[in-house]
Amino acid sequence: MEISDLKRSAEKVMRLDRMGSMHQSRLSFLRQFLRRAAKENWKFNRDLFEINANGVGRALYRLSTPLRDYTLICFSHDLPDEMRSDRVIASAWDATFTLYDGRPTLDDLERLEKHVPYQEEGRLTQNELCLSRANRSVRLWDYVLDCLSNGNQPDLDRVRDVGYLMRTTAVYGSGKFGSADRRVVENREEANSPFQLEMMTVYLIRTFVMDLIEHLAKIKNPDSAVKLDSAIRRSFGVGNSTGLGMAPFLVNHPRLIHNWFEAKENAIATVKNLKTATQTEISKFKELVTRLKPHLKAWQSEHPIQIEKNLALEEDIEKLETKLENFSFSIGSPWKILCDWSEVELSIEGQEMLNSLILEPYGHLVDTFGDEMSCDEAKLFAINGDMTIATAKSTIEQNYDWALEIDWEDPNCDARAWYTSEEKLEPRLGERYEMPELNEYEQALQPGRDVARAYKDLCELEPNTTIADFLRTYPKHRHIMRRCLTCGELPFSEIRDNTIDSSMLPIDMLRAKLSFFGACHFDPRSDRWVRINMFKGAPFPDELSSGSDPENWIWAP
Amino acid sequence: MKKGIELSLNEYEALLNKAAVGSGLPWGIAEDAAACGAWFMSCGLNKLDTWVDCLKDNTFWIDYCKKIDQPSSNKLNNIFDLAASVYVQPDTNVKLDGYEWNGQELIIDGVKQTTSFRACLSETQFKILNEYAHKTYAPATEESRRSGAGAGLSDND
Repeated sequence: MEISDLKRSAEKVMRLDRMGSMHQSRLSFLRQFLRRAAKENWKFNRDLFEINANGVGRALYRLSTPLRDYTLICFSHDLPDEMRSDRVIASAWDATFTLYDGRPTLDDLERLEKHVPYQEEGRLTQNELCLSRANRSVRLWDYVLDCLSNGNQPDLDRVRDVGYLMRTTAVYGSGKFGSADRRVVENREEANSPFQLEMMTVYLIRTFVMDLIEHLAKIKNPDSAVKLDSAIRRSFGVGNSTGLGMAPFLVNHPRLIHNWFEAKENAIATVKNLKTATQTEISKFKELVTRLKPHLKAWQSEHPIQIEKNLALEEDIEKLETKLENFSFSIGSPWKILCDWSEVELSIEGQEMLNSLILEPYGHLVDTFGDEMSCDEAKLFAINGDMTIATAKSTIEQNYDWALEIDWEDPNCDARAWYTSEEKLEPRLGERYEMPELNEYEQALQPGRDVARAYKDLCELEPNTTIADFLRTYPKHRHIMRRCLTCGELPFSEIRDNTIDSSMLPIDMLRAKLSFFGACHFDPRSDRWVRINMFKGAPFPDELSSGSDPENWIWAP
Repeated sequence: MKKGIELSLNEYEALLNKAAVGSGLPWGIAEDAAACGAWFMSCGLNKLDTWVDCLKDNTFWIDYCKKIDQPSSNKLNNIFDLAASVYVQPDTNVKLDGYEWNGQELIIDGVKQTTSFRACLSETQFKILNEYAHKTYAPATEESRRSGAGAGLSDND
């Protein structure tokens, strides 16, 4: 069988319920980042740490690749509780950061101190690569600080329930707010895969946060304070609060998204195509399966949807363990057989967890797919104006049948409108029929409805009319026609679901993107807001430089 | 840097895109108009004011897009035609009056222009673009605030 025969179709994968059940994998961006950092033996140094007893000050954390330096500049603040908000519309944070390209001078620090703490209101230069901020977890911060300053280690169960001391509420890159354009760095190997510098930023933030709490504990009680035990230290990741901004991203970057999903599907199909598995590969897989129950135990959520999904996942893990007790890996194509079994027996969460797990023993076969996940988006997808509308219609019929079948007259089917508020340009999702004024501000984020409208107009013209003539008559359809033609060539570029349906859950889109980042412990706080954890269990930079395995920490509890 | 504002090139293109939509252009046309404006900036052509003037004429950009979709219809009469041609066939040499595209960079009157990923705007230009872009933003209301992510949730936890 060919890999292409085993590859799942976009019709199957690009559905919101499945996208909203995806897990991190070897191809996730933070995994790619750690792998490279370890392989190239990147050096780490804390160049500066000046923080006072109130937690106010600045710090510098540098990673040196064989070719260049990157420095995380941290500004630490004393934020009153009443100002703490994870929303885009917040105006102050516990800590603010920028990733600097190279080693900053004192002048740079003084310049950036006037901008970075103000985040979207400040301006960066081409020397800065990312902008970020984070807030303390009130549940854990004071508790851990008290423990350490009194000479005690925090209770592991309590740490596990939250999983982080600070959560980032945005990590901006790619030229936002004056920072360096993506094209400035895209040819650097370490920045070529998607979001590598953002991953670097978050990874260094994690180290800063741990240093900060130990430092404040020491100031609070110099005689009795202790540092975190290394195992407990590792169990802290960095939290992240993510809102609606990620949903438009998935729709607005069709070619990039295609590359992400296609790379992952190629990797899964490659493993399913293996006729046999070695004992080492089987043992690796089985060992990871033993981590699933503790991982799930630490995956706390109060959201009814996630609670239900995790209950199903608990059963799935049970079923998988039972299945493996008697499973003969010596029959042909064991991974395909397991995946086929999962499609009948497991929930979608469980199926996607298995798809991620089977990649783990096969880094030598699948990791290179990670090199294919970036995309030069500087140029728009060119529309072939000479194409006839008959051809365009057939592309639509093939890829958007799901959209043509929807009754767009039904108010439930176009219930929502995506828009941007003038308030700090926060992306929002409104109820169209309750706020009809939103129609005027609607963003182009409902390909399903728009393709149905364009298709209707295409049907009015002679089949041999060219696309160029069609778009001259109907310029309003230009955006969606470009999408449809893109999707004709790049099938994973489109979410094959209605993004404005009354029952649509934006968290499904957020989760898909976050799984590609490498996030875990998805904890929806509403239908449009999710908290996650990154790097939980991962080695810290100093551990990585002294030889810690960059891969074997995953599915940590 | 002169007094004004400096943006990254992709930030500039995104702003042009929003300004074009705010001026009334359909989304798809605005994307091509923004790409055209960003190309001008990347090769040092000071054409932003002309670009903004063209927003007042919808048919101008519809014609421009036709030249992209059907390059054979592009007769190369002005700098926008040159942009459309380079956009579709970036590897091809094109000449127009004092301008020459050599497949990689723009040469103006014999002088090679350095490709830049920065956009420098005067404060007036920045203000005009933002005024257009602002028309795409919904007014801040309490009801709207409630439709944002994180609304009604406490973050002190």
